[in-house]
Amino acid sequence: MKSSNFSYCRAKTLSEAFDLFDYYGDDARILAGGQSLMPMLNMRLSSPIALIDINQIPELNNIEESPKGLKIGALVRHYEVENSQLVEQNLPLLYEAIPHIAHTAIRSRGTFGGSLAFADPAAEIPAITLALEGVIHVCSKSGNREIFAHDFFHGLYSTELKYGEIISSVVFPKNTYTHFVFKELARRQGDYATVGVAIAAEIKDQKIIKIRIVYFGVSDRPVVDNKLSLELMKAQFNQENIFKVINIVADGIDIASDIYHDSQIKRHLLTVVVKRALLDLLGKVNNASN
Amino acid sequence: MHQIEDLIEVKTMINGVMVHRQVPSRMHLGDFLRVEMGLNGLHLGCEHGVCGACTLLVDGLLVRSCLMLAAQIDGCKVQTIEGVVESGEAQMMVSAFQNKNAAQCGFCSPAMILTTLEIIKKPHRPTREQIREAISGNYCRCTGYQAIVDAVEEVLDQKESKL
Repeated sequence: MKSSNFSYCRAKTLSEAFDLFDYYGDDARILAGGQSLMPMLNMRLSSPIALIDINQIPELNNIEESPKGLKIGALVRHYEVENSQLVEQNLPLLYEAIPHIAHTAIRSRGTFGGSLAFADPAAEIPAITLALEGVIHVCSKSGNREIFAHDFFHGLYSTELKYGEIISSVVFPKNTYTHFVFKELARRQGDYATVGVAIAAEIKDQKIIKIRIVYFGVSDRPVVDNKLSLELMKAQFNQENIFKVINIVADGIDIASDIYHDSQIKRHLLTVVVKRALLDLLGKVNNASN
Repeated sequence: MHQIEDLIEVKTMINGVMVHRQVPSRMHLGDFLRVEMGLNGLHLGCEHGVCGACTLLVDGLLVRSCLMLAAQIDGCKVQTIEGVVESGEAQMMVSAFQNKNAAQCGFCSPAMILTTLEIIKKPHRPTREQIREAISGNYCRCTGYQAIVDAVEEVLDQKESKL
């Protein structure tokens, strides 16, 4: 399987990349890590006129603390996130999720911004970004803008990004969450999740003060389950209440089938995964208080 | 549609040798190494990043060569199975693969050896479970992986006994 022909352009700066977008009209694609784009090209699901390689633009490549929170550059690779102390300390939920992304050889190349721009509904990084309310910074010839994660994902492989826009970084604002858990079910270690859940919670004295629950692999984009959050916040956080609320997991959320599972099975699997996640969360709370 | 392929200039270090070539823009790294450089130890299976047979090292990191353009290796260091065999780095692992019958048809073996060489560099000894996880990105359709995990453990044992 070989890609159809295209022009390859190496942009050394963002303004060079913007010029290339102009030059090729509306049919150039950004090449970042290429771990999703290259398969699409090889399978000829996509055949752009030109690829704009942004891998050598230096300012997109940092993880740093900023006044607004932890900033992860769009070109930061998954293995860099995996080995980052800043991420381990500031974003434990992301740190826990990274090993679930594909395999070592994919994490060597795949990028943070690329995963967001591709917006696979079963991918980990979009779900984590939504769970931790990340702000996606986007730049283009006409200026910069910031997009909240909950406005960013429009549907299957579809985002708020317009032609000519490039993600520059994601900023994760400081938050008051105290406990985190990440769980996914996949047919093989490293595959896209069949279903998965990311949870960030603020828990004090066995009481949930705030909780954000995000599912992925269930719909055409990552989704927040507010109903379950509200139900969990009503009572003490203990095993009995977890079992009580588990029947309203994804209540009111349409679950899409995939090529292996119909939506009913996915709903069942999601319930299992959420139960495991909440019990894990409870374990973490109990461990901390003992 | 573009009929004429663009040629991109790349300078790269392949198995310690400096190479200066013009490559077609759409050619992936795996094709470049096999067709242009004659490095046939690298195998192409699925060509969309799933099977792992084309895995090699770029700047010391495991990479799928079907998911990287040849045009992108400008300024990079590439190491293939030929490189690590010639340098002697793979010798223990190759012997262990032979001892444990971890290479049957041999199609996955070059990439499997490069991947397992990374596992044994880790500071802590991995469990069998962790070894399986680390090779989960490389398909083997013969061995059932048991023999490959055995081979990795043999190398780990040998390394420990030398300490």
